[in-house]
Amino acid sequence: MTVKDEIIEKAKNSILDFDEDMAEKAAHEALKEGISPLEVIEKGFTAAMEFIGGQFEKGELFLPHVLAASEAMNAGIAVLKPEMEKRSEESKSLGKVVIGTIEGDIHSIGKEIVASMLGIAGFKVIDLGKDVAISRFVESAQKFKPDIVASSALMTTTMVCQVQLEEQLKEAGIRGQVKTMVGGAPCTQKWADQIGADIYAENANDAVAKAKALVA
Amino acid sequence: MLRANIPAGLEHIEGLGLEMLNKSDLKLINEITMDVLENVGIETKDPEALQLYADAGCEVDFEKCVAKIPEYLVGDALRSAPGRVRLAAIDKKKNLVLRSGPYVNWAPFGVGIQCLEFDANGKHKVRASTEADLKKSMTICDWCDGFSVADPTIAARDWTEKGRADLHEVQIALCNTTKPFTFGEPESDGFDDYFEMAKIVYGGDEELARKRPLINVCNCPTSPLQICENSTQITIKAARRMIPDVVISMSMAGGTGPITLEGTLLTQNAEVLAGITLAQIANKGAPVTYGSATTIMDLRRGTASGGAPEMALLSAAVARLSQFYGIPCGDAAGCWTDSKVPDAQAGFEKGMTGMIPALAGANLIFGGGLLEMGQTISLEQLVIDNDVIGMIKNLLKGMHVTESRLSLDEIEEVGIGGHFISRASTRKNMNEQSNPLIFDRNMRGSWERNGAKDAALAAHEKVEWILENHNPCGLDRDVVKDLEAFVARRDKEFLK
Ligand code: B12
Repeated sequence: MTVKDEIIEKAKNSILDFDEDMAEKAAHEALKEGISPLEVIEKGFTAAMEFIGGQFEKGELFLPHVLAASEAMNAGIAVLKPEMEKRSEESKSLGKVVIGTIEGDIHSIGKEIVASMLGIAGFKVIDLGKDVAISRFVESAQKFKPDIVASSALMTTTMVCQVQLEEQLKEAGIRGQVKTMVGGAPCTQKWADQIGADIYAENANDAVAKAKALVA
Repeated sequence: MLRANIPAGLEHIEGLGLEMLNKSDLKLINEITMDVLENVGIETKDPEALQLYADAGCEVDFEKCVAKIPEYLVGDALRSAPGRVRLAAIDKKKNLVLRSGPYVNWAPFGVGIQCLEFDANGKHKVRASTEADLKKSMTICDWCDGFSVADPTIAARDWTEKGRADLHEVQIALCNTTKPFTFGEPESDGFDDYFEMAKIVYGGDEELARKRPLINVCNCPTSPLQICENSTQITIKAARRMIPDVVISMSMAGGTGPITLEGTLLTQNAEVLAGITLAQIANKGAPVTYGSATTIMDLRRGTASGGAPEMALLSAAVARLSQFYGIPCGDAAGCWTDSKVPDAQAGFEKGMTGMIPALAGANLIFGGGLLEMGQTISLEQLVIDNDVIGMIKNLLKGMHVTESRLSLDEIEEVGIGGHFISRASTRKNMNEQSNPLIFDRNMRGSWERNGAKDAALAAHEKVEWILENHNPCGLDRDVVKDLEAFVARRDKEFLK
């Protein structure tokens, strides 16, 4: 095995072992050896993440594994990022998603799971957090030019803000350039249809499948 | 009739009880909770709450919005928080006094967002809940004697865009029960309106509205270790107005709390105590109680489970903690289920999650009518749960071994053979027997002649009967009109 292979193997194992420290170490070693960060990400981190994702879909691994693996991956990527920017490399992504829990609502766990799973599936995810003002969704949509603007609402009182999001995206003249996705316990397909959102998903897996289908 | 405050058999010579967590367990939990509050602290973005914590002696980092609460302050709060909290009812006879100690009472769930609708053939479908559903639910909770309080169970979603849904919910509650209730979705900006509505009920008597608040509130910290601004404001405003407020942590072991139940019990304890302390800082003696809807996050399915045995244990542990602290446990999750329909799963999960906290002496166990982890309410399930609760009340009685109850005289008189059915003592005591209304104890023949109904269908008929025959309103027609007019005015302002 070459040094490069060894480092990539280590990057892979760090994800499979849910080991943030090892992921960072592998990333540092890659930098020292002058290996392309992108290659480490794609052949190491992402490859392992795809394996984990597959296990998750089969019901052999669960949320705690997937989220821990993705945190390890993020730790490794954070180390590689400056060098990637220097080389103006960009990792491939399926598309960009801006996501947040809607104004007035602080139920964030479900949204975080969806955001992580989209990230794991290969989307670039910009997570705006919770209780996100509609105007911030719109500004972020203008700034990051995402493929999808996703909002989470867990309460009947806050899901009505998803209507405003639709409207304000229209007013800003960018509704045509993005797809909207809604979710959270009170949302339904019927609700999405009613407010004109493009995608409704019941849970994280469903969200990933539908987002993938959209950009395919 | 209303039989409130049935004691579980703890610290009592009679009755059945479950003494989980011994004194040294409770002490250790308390000590480490104090450690967390003192050294990790609690985050809130509410500047007023931070200032209150700081002025009272907490170490506050205004930039990070974290208050570190010293042990003595929590101790002071626990001493000044009342051991008895009265939930006032429109019908004074139905006032409920929550007492610290193993006294068990029952509440329906709040606040679901869907209604499971049944038809006469037992077919059901789920849909968004409406004001009309809430009115029906209030009527049923008022009728069912298992419930000591009649909390609004379901959101008036037909009003969310058209007006002030919160005020519609309060109005429907005030007009459709004479029992006390806690409003599950208070807005911190809504307090003046709620007060006005109570005043209308009391014929404009401000003094009474202040002394006997009718709209009790609740609020939830955000696990782990945060309290959002709406939540701190509810606590502060309720405390200043002496409105009973229950601080309910909804921590999820494995999600927003540690995976161990013990660890999650600890973080949720810190969250609730931080809320109770805030209430006492805002106003010493404020009627604040200990609440919990803490459960597990099912990590295989990514859901907040409402029917897990772990939830039953957590609710029971919370009951024990609040007894240890000498303050009432004003809401403990129980009689819950993850099932989507009133079926076998619902039956067992509700029985289990209701019984365990009851045996531990939780003061108010809430869950009646709930399905699907609290998303959905079924009117039929309310009536079924009334039976579940009734039977658990019988369990709590346990056995009282006294010479007279051992009945030697009776045994000698009837002797060998014969029966006890016609004995005077039997007639006298037969009301001690459990007596479910829905669960069927007949022989198969009678059951078939009655239409071979399962519990859900039998409950459906009971629901129809209650809605037709029970008038729950304790207010004069004029008062109802005034309330409606008040809410209509607020709707208009809301739409502007
Ligand atoms: C935990 C919880 C809380 C926690 C949240 C902590 C946190 N950091 O998130 C706290 C305690 C803060 C909280 C507060 C309140 N809550 Co709360 N809460 C819940 C509870 C029990 C579980 C939610 C949860 O985390 N589930 C687990 C996650 C993993 O599932 P999920 O969120 O549904 O997400 C999944 C899907 O929905 C979907 N999804 C989610 N988002 C998105 C987004 C997109 C784009 C897509 C595609 C999919 C998707 O995928 C996720 C993963 O599979 C629910 C009841 C329930 N069972 O849902 C009530 C519930 C949502 N809360 C409720 C209420 C009333 C409140 C409070 C008003 C209580 C109070 N009086 O203070 C406050 C409101 C705070 C606010 N302004 O937002 C009500 C809402 C009722 C209503 N009218 O709508 C509920 C339904 C409980 C109830 N029946 O009473 N709550």
